[in-house]
Amino acid sequence: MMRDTGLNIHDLSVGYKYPILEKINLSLLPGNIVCLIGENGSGKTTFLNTLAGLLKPKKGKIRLGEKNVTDLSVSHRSKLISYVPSKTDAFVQLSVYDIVSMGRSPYTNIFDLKSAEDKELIDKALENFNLKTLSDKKLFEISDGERQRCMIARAFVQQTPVILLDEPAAFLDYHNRKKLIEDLLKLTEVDKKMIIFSSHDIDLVSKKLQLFWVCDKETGTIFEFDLSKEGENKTILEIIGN
Amino acid sequence: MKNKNFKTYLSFFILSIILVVVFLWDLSTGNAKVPFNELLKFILPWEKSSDEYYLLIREFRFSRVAMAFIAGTALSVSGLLMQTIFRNPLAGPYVLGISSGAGLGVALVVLGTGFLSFSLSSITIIFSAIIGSAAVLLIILAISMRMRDTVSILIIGILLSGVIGSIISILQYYAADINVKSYVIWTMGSLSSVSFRDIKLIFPIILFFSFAAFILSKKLNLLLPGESFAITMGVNLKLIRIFTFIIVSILTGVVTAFCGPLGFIGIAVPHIARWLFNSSNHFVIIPASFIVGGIVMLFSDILTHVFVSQGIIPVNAITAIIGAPVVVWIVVKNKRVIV
Repeated sequence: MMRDTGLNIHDLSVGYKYPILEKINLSLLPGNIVCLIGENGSGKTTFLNTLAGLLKPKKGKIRLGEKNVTDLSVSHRSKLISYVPSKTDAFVQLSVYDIVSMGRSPYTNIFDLKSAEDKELIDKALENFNLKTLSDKKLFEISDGERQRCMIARAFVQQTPVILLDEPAAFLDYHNRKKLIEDLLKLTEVDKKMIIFSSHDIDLVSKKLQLFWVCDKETGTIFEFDLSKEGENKTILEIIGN
Repeated sequence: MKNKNFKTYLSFFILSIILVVVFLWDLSTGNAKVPFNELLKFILPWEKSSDEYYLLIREFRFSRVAMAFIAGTALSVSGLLMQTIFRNPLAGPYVLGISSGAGLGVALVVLGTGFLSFSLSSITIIFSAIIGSAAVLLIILAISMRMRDTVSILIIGILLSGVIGSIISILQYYAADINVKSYVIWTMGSLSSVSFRDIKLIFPIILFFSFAAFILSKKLNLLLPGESFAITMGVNLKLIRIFTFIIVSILTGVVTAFCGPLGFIGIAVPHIARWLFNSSNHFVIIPASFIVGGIVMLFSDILTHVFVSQGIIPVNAITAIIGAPVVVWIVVKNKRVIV
C-alpha cells in the first residue's frame, strides 16, 4: 500500500553527455528522510537535478506513486517536487517575501492572486525560518546563509510531497545547520514528506539520521546505507572511507 | 505591505498625471502654436474647436504625439521582456539588433520596390519590419540557448547589427536615389510620417500585445531567480520564450516600421521603472515601463521642437541624450545593473 505513494527509482542513469551514475535502484517511502553523500564530482547534484526534472534521465524511470515523473508537465511536477539548489542568483531586485511567496505560484492563477490560506503559509514559513525581519530586504542585501534559508522557506511553502535540497547547509552556521536538520526531521515525521538532501557534514548528519544514499564514484552508482540495520557493526564514516 | 501597496498606487497615479500633462504639452508644441483653449476643445468631446485648429491638431499634431506615446510604450515593454528573458540588464531591441532587423525588412521593401510613402501600404511596411525583427530575434534566441554568457550575446547582437548595416548599405548602392533618400529619412527616427488612420491601426495592436506581456507577468517573475528555478516552479520555458518572442517582434517591428530604429528607450526605461518602484515584479514593472516609456518619448519629442525653431531634429538624437545618462546614473548608483 505504502509503495503506491512512495518514490521509486528504477534502473536510472544520470549524466550530461555520458552517464555519471548508472543502474540506480532506490525507493523512499513517505515519512522518510535520506541524506545523499559522496565526494566532490560523484554526481550528487546531477542526480538531484534529474529528480527535479532539470535534466532528462539517460535511462530508467522515476516514479512517484502511480505517476511517471519524467512524463509529467512542468506545472504538474512543481506541485509534487520542490527543489532547493545549492546556489541562487542574488542579483535580482526581489525581496525575501517575493521569493518565499513564489512557493505558492504553482497553485495560484495567472494574476498570481493569493488566498488568505496562501498568505498564512507564507507568514508561517517566514517566521519558522527567522526571516520575518528580513522580509522586505532584497536578495542582494542579505548574506548567503540568509538567502539559503529564504530558498528553503520557499520550498516549504510549495507544499510538495517530495523535497530535494542540494547542500542546504553549505552557507549556514552551526546553530542554523542543526535547526535545519531538526526542521527537516519534523517535516518528515509530521507531514509525512519524502526529503532527499545532500551534505558534506557527515558528523552532524550521522547523529540525527539513519538513512543514507551513497554516491560511489568507483562503482558509478548509488547504494543505500541504513544505520539502523548496519550501524552496530559499521559507522557511516567507515563506509565513506571504503 | 499595505503601506507599500499604497505607495505603488500613488506612484502610478502621479505618473498618469505626468503622462497626461506631457501629452498635452507635446500636442501644443510644433511649428505653429496651438492655443490652450483650442487644445481643450479638441480633447473634450462636448466642445468643438474651430475647423482649422481641428484639422491641424487631428491630422498633424495628434498623429505625431500619439505615435510618440505608442513608440515609447512599445519599445519599453519589449526592452523589459528582453532583459528578463535573456537575463541581461543591457538587453534591448536596439542593442541586440532587433531594430536593425526591422530596418532590414523595411529596407528590402523601400529600396527594393520603391514605395515612396508609407501611406501607399502601411501593412506591407509593418509586416516586413515584423519579419525582419523576428528573424534577428530568432538568431539571438537560438544562440542564447547555447551560450548563457550575457556579454557574448551582446557582442553577437552588435555584430549582427553590423552585418545588417552592411547589407543595407549594399542595397542602398543599387537602389534608386529617391528611394535611398526616403529610406535615410526613415532611419533618422521620424514620428511625423504617421497618419491618423495609421494610429487607429497600430494603437490596438500595441495595446493588445502590451497586455499580453502583462498576462505573462507571473511566469516572467519566476524567471528572475534563474531558468532552473523557473522550471522547478512549473514554468514551461519553451512556451514562455515563444510568447515573448512573438510579443517583442511585433511591438518592436510595428514601431520601427513607422519611426525607424529608436535607440536607448528600450534599454533605459525598464531601469527607470525598476528604480522608481524599487521592484522587479513584472505585475508592477510592465505597466510602469508602459507609462514611463510614453512619458520619456513624449518628452523627447517636445525637446526636438524646443531646440530648433524651424523644422525638427531627429528624435533619435534626443532619446540617446536622455537615455544614456540615465543608464549610467543607475549603474553608478547601484554599483551594478540589476534585472
